[in-house]
Amino acid sequence: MPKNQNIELPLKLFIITLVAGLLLGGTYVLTKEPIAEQNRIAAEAARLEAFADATFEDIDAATLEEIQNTYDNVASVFSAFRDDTLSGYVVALTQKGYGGDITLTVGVDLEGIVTGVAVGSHQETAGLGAKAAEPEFRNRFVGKSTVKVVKGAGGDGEISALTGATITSKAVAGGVNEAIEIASALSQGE
Amino acid sequence: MSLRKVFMNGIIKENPTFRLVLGMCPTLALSTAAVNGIGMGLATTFVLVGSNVFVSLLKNFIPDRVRIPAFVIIIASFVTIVELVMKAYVPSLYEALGIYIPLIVVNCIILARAEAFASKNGVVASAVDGLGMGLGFTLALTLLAAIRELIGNGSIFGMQLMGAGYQPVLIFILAPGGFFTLGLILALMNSLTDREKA
Repeated sequence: MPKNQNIELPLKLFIITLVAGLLLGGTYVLTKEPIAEQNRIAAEAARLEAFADATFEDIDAATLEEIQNTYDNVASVFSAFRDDTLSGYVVALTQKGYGGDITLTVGVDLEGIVTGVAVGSHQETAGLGAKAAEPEFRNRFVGKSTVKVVKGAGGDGEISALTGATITSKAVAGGVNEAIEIASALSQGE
Repeated sequence: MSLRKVFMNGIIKENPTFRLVLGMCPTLALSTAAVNGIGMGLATTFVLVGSNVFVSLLKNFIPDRVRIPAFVIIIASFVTIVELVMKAYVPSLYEALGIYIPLIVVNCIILARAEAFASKNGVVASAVDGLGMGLGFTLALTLLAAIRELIGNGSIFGMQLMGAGYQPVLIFILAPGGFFTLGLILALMNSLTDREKA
């Protein structure tokens, strides 16, 4: 090939990569704040889904750190107040699912009963594991105080797994159980 | 080739799924529910039009010998920018299409159209080609997904169609069902076109 192509090819490829990199960097910087804002809104909505009609307050940083020493997948813990009285806790955590991390927000009242489960971002298989995000599955946890996943119809304290998505079901149940443990420990500590 | 022909080409004659057999990974993985077919199809259409336009605009700048890496960079950047902007400003759309976006980057339909069409044709024709191919992909994926959802879950678009006594054939929404359904549709398409020729 002609000599000048030795320079032209890498140079043009370099220019394309450089422009692409700059555009990506620029977009990232511009969208960082709005995305963080959207995430805050989504997190607040998830807390309300897990614990309806409540207002939320961060638990103090020292307690959170203590919790995170035991459960390193916990992102945040909030106290939930109804009519200005403490009525439970909301735990946001991630669990390893089938396709990657599943973000869960679990509400637990002072008796250690699950009030609601919200499923945030996940990469579960569409049509199978992704059904975990649907209310039909999430509501199976409401009112339970410990959960165990079984195939087929679930009895007392049992959750029937999503068909074809046992790993996802177990991941969600594991997260719910963790949230119950954390919230119960907090309730007893008060 | 007229624009109309370019457009129809992607929908029937060179349908990416049923005739070119491109993009099989997302096709098999996502065609478990009809609504996924529409979501993935529309997200792909959008990216396909965008990347075709970019590639067509840059076709004189990109040296032939390094065109593939150049296309890959353009497509990956475009997809990532779309994802970030969507996440920041249209979260509801992101919620509906977001999970499909990372899958689009690895969808070979996009690269194939950049290589086979956009790098040799004008901007308008390339955009139309992207639109036709994208909608062809959407239709194919939705058809495949609707069949699998109906047999495997007894519903279409989440609406329960089969009676309560229907026992869903679960294997159809699992991976093997994807191959079964796709194979049967391909066979049907081939037998129809063979008959036309004869």
